[in-house]
Amino acid sequence: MKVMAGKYLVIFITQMKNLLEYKINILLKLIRPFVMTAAVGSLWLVLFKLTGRDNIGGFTRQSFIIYLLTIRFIAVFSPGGASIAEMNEEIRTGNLAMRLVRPAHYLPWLLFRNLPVPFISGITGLILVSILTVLLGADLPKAGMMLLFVCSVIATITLQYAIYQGIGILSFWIYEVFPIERFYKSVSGLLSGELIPLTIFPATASEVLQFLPFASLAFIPGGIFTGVFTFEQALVRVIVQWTWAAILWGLVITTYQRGLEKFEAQGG
Amino acid sequence: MAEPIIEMKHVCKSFSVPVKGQQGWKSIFYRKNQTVDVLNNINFSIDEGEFIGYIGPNGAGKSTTIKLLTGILYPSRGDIRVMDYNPHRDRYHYTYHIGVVFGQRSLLEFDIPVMDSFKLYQAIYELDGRLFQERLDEFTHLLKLDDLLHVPVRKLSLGQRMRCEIAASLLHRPKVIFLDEPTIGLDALSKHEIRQFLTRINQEEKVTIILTTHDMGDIEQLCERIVFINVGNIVYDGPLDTLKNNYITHKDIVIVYEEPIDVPDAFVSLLKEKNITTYTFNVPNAEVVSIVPALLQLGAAYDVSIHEPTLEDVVKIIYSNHIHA
Amino acid sequence: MKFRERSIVKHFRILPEYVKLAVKRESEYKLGFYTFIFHQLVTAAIWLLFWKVLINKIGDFGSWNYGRMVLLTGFVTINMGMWLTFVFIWRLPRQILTGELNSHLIKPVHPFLHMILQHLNLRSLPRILIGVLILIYALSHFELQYSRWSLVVAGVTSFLSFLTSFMPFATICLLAFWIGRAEFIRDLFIELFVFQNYPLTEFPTVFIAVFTVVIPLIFSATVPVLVLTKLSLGWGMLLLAGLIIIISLQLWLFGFLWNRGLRRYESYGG
Repeated sequence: MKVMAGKYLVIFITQMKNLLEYKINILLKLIRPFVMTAAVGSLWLVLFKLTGRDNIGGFTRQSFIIYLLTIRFIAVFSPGGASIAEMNEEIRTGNLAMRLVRPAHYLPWLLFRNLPVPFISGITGLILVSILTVLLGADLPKAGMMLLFVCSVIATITLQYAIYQGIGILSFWIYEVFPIERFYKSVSGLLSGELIPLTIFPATASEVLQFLPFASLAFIPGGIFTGVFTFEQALVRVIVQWTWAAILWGLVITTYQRGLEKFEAQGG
Repeated sequence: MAEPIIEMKHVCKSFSVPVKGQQGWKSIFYRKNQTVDVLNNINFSIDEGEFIGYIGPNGAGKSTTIKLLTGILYPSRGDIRVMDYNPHRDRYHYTYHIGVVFGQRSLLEFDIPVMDSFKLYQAIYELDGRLFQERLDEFTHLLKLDDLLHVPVRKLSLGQRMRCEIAASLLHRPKVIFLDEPTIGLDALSKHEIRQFLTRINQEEKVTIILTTHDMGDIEQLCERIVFINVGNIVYDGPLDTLKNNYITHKDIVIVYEEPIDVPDAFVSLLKEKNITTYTFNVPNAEVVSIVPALLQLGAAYDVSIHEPTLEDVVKIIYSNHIHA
Repeated sequence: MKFRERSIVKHFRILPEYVKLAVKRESEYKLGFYTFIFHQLVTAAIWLLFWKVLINKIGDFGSWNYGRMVLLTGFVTINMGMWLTFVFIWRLPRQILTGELNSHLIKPVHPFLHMILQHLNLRSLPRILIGVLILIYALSHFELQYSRWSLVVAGVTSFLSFLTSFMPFATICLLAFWIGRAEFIRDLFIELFVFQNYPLTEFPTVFIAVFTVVIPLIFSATVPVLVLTKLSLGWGMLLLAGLIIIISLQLWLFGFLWNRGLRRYESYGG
């Protein structure tokens, strides 16, 4: 077991070294997710100014900025489209065979290989969000809520990896999975609360959306951190998140096994 | 005397590469570079219809030379003329007259049938419909393309793909062809078919061909003249036979005795290898005839054979001489 | 030396061959094609839903009511559709870095145009069509004031504006000639494109200035909507003239850097 863990750690470290060869690129990768945040943030600041309101959908100007930064810092942990593209390429060209002949499981191998960028970006993001929260004079969540927030973030990351690997696994059946990834990104952009907090939707829609897996990707952790929920509400939502994570991982593993049975290892 | 079709005069090419081992955050914004000379003062000329083997170890500058000759790269210094064109300056007009095959890169569209790529080339090279069809028929026959033309490239084997790549590069009847490792990774039969085809177009159409390869079989079967490059310098330019004669100074005499023998002091320096009762002696060419009877006297022998080094061996000798020089 | 027609003109003459190639390619992956159309529809619907939810909650976005937001989404969809046609530009840094550009340099073609046209992406056409349908829907369902001529000027502006985002993007990709791995700058730059979706006139002046002069994304959708529904025809023509000047400068800069870049091209070493 120890050997197993060490193996994947080495994969992670090797990939990290690879990345450090291009330091300027790391810097740009760190900045990149926050460009999107700046864009969405600027739109909302304009909105607050135009409407003259102090509160939109339960968010003040200050809590809204913190919300945006929080969900962005969580989003950067996502393995990103590159991991899907890599999986798609390996499965359709048959290069997956080269992975299968090694004594390492493919899914964790892929996971650890794609982890360095989110790892660096996530840590930087966390520091940035904490500093900004303090600078903006907002209160950090109390101990219990903070614990729930951490559980929620871990559930989000777990869920993200399940979704990305799940889309990649579809390559066993579908030649091109890129459109599916784009489709997922578009839908989750709106339904996860990334573009617009779910409390802005009409009440019934908002209630329903909060229990779909998309909300787990942004709105739930962001809402917990900015105090949108009571402790009980937050607890229920974290349980929902973990339930979705368990269901999706179950699906991913089963589908992967099915896919391997179908794998043709063409080429060569 | 006819003008050479290809001429390289004092050609140099250097690349800028980052200095290794730069650490620290300063290196994020600024990286020191150094200039690496890949080609140093290359000079040669090639006449129409010649079939040239351009060889050398990895990193010698072969591909760089081909890229300079095809107009892909600009020379750092020197002058290149091919058919009165300056390849990089006149690239657009020049490329109507050349054919290029990169063994490790495909010129064909990966996802669609080969024939569709050919039709695109017909449009790009502005080939008349009748001439295109004639050429296609000819190639279909010579390169056995019948069953391949309507198959997407991704479904072809390496050998099949290479035959199609060669056809695609020659559809427009180029006067000069550059082949960069066209037989890499191919099986013996595919190599044979491609070699036969190249010999034919070289001889019948008087096409000038420059071939870079690591396969000495290609060179021996196809090229009369060799240009040997190492560390950016030409170390040999001349007929293949002369190259062999210059470097093949010894032959191996292999004798199988009935039982182990004691090698006299006079022959110890010639002994190259000993394996139970099989003895290999490396003997200067001029002494082979006189030494063989003497060696046969050393014990009861039941087999003897004389081996001349292959071109592969010659090339190994040259590579190692230059590496250790 | 026999003079042949200029390489750029030739590409337009053989355009049908490129299109045939693209059709063949798409017909190899029909499922991907249909999934992609579905994705385009959903993306447009999501933006419309986004503005609907927002405006229902907070009212108009300054002078931008929901009808104008629908128009904005229509123009962005058309713009991104045209962009998508030439999406292979995305791979230019890789082509330069790994020497894949070689295969375009050894043919009697303009290497850049050939590379882009050889990989035309026809999946863009449904997207452009969706954009046009959104515009028709907006103009017929909302009380928007426009004239036939303002529609023409807005259409031309929209058509040309694709170049104002495409050319800076292509120019950024050329950095690969100098710095090698330019993908990360490219990816950073593309993030800014989200601003196309916003009514930029309501943003602070500094934003308007940057998105007009430095990265002229304001022409993608905001300006066409203004030209169509708000500005006089004279102002519309003036903006169009400004757009043409900006595009000319962008094309010149790209051409200059492309030629310089080719001189530095290393074709993946020796």
